Amino acid sequence: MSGTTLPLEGIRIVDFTAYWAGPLPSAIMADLGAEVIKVESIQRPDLFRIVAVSGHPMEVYELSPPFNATNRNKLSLTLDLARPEGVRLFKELVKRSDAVVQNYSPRVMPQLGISYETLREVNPAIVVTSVSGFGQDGPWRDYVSFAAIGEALSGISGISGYTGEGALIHGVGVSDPFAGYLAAFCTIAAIHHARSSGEGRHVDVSQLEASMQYIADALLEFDLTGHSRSRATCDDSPAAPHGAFPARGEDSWVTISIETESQWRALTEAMGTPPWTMDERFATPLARRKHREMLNERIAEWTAGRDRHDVARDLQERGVPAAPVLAPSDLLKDPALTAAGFFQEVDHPVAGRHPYPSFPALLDGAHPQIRRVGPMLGQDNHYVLSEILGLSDAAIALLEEDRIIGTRPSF
Amino acid sequence: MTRLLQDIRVLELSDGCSAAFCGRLFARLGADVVLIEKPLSGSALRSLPPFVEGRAGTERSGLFMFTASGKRSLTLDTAHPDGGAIFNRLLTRADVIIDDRGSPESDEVLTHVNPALVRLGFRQFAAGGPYENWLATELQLAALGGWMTQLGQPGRTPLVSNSRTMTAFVPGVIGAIAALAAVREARIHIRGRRIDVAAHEALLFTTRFNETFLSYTGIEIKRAGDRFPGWAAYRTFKATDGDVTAAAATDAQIEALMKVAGVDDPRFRTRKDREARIDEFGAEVSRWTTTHTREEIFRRCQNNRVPMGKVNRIDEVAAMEQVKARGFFEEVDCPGDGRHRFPGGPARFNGQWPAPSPAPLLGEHTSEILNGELGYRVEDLTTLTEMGVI
Repeated sequence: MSGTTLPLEGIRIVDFTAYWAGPLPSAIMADLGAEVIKVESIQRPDLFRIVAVSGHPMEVYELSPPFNATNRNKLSLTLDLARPEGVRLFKELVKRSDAVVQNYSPRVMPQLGISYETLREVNPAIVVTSVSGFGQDGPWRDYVSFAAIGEALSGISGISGYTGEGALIHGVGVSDPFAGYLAAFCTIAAIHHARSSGEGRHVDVSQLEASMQYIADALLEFDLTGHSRSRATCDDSPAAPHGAFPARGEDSWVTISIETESQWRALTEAMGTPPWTMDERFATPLARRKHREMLNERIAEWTAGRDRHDVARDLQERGVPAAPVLAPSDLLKDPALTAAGFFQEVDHPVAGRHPYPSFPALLDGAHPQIRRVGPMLGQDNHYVLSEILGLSDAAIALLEEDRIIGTRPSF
Repeated sequence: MTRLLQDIRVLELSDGCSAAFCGRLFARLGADVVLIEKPLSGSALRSLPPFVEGRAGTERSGLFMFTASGKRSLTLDTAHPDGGAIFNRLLTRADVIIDDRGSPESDEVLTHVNPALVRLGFRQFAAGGPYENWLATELQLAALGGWMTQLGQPGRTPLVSNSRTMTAFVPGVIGAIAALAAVREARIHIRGRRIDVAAHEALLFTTRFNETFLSYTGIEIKRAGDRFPGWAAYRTFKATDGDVTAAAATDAQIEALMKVAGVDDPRFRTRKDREARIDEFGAEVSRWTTTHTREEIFRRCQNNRVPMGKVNRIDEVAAMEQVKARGFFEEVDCPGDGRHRFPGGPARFNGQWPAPSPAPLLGEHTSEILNGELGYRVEDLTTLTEMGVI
C-alpha cells in the first residue's frame, strides 16, 4: 500500500501563480507530495480568490471554491515583490527550492527582478516553468489570454459546437488544464534532470501550443488529407447513432454509441424492435450514418419518456455503450465516484467542510490525500520564514510591520 | 539539450490513444520508449485515422506517427514462452511499464522481476466500481465525467468536441505525470508503484471543480452556449467573417473593450450595471464586432490589452504568425509520402523544442534490441520470426 510516503516528497516548489493554468500544475505536484509554497502578496493576491465568487472582496477572499480547490495541499506565503526585501526573500527561497512555477505575462518576472536568468544565478539547478497564453517570445508574447482565448485560436472552438452553427465556449475552460498538465509533466522532467546534472531549465508552456497538441487528430487530418473538419453535433465518428438523446426530466440526456452490428441489433431489441428499425435506410452502418438525423429523431422518441439511468443500464447489460449525461449535482452523488472515494471531504477554517476532487490516479490503490485546501492568505508565513529561511521572530515581526508580509489583503 | 529523461527506460504496451500519448511525452523528452507491438498487425493505433492521403495502411496512420514519435518498435508475442522470456528481460531493465491492454502479468509477477518498476495502467472506469465493466466511447466517458454537460446551448443536446484525441489525451498526460513522479521515488527507494488512471476520473478532474463550487454556493454550473454564465464579456461575438471570443475578466479589461468598441453608455458604467443588462451590453459590443473582421477585432483588442481571440478554423491554425514564429509545427518524414507538418511539443526548454524524431516502422528495432542489446544471436532471431514470436 501507499504507506505514508508520496512520490515527490523532498521536492520544493515555489508557486507564483494566479487563476488556474499556473496553480493547477503545482497543485498536482503538491498532491504527489512536493512541498509547494504559493507566493502572493497582501497588495496583490491571486485574483482567483475574488473573481470566481460574488461578494465584497474583503469578505470572500478565503471563500472562492475554485481557488480553494486549485490550491489544495499548498502552503501560503505573502511577499511584497514590489520591494527589494520581498525580492531578496524570494531569491532566498529559490536557493532552497527545485522549481518555480509562474503564469504571469512574460514581462512580469523580469520587471520584478526575478527573471529566469537572475534566478539561475541564485541557483543554477532551479527549474522555472512559465505558463502563458502564447509563450515567452514571438510577436504575440505580450498579448493577454484566458482559457477561452487559447480555445478559440488553437482550433478547438472551430470544432466545438452544433453542425453548421457558431462557436461555443467550453464551460470547462479546457486550455488552462491542457497547458497545466503539460507544465506539470515538463517540470517534473526538468527537476529529474536537474537533480542529477545540477542544471536547471526554463520550461516554456503556452496555452495555445498545448491546446493544439490535444486536437492532434484534427490538425494531422488537415495536413495529411487536406480536410479541415468543422463543428459536428454528433462528431465525425463513423458510428451511428452516436450522440446524446433526450430522456425524462428537465435537461436530462443519455448518450448512445453504436459501433458494431451486434450493438445495433441489441439497441433495436431494447427498443422492442419497432417497424422503423427494419427500414432499409437504417439497414447498414453506412445507411444509418447517411440518415443520421432521421435515425436520431426516432431514437429520441424512444428515450424521451425514459429515465436516463435506466436506459443506460439496460443498454449496457445488452452490450451497448450508453451513459447518462451527468451534471455537477449528479456527480456529487454518483455511485462510482462515491465507491472510489473520488471526492474528498476537507475542512477549511473559513469555508467549512466541502467535497474536493482527487488527483485522478490511484497510487498503489489509493488517491493521493487532500491534506488541506486553501490555503489562507499568508497562513504559513511563519513556517516558511522561520523554518526554511531561518529568520528570527523579531525579523518576521518587522516584515509584518512593513507590510512585506501579512494575512489581510489590501484590495 | 532537451533529452531530460534520457536515463529512463519505458516499455509500452498500448492499443489506445491515452497510453500512446503518455508514451509520446516520455519519448519526446528523451526516454527510451520501446513500443511492444503484435507481430504482423502491430499496434491498434496503426489502424486509426487520419491516414496519409486518406488511405489506410500499417505505416500510414498520422495518429500513430504522431504518438509514436521517437519511440522504438519491437514486435513480440508476449504470450509465447520465448516471447515471455524476452519480455522479462526487458522488464528487468525498465523503469516504467505503460499498459492499456490489461496484460495478464500480475503486479506480483512484475514486481518479482523488477521491484523498482513503476506499473502504469489505463482503464476507462475505476476497477471495482459500478461502471467497471461498462462499455464506453469517448462520448460515454465525457457524459459520466461531467465534461459533456459543459458544452452546448442550455436546454439543447450536450456535446463533445469533434476530436477524439482531445478527451483521450487527458488521461494520458495524467498517467505520465504520476508515473514520472514515481520513477524518481523508485530510484531512491528501489520500490516501484502501481499507478491506475481511469479516463472517467481524469476527465472529471479537468472540469474546473464545479462540484466544489456547487457545494459552496448552491449554484450548479452547466453549459451556457457561447458564454460563461454571468460574465458580461466572457463570450463569443460575431464578426464579418466568423466568430471572435472575448475573455475579459477584470473591470479594466471590460472597460478597455468598451473603449475599443466605442460603447460609451451610462447604462453600462459599473460591473453591476453590465451584469444586470448582460444581453443589452452584449448587443452594444456586437454592433462593433459585426462590422469588423476577426483579424481586425483581435488586433485592436489585444493592442489595447483586451483578452480577445479569433475563432480559427482548423485550416488556419498552422498559419498563425505566432505559431510560425515559435516553430511549433515540425517537419516529419512520412514513409513514401514525403514531408509533413506535425504539431510539436510538449514545451520549449531554454528556448528549444525537443528535436523531431520519426515514428518507428513496425518492428524496426526488433533486431537492434534483441541482437544488439539483449545478446540474442541472428539465428535465434530467424527462429523466433519463424515461430511468429517476433
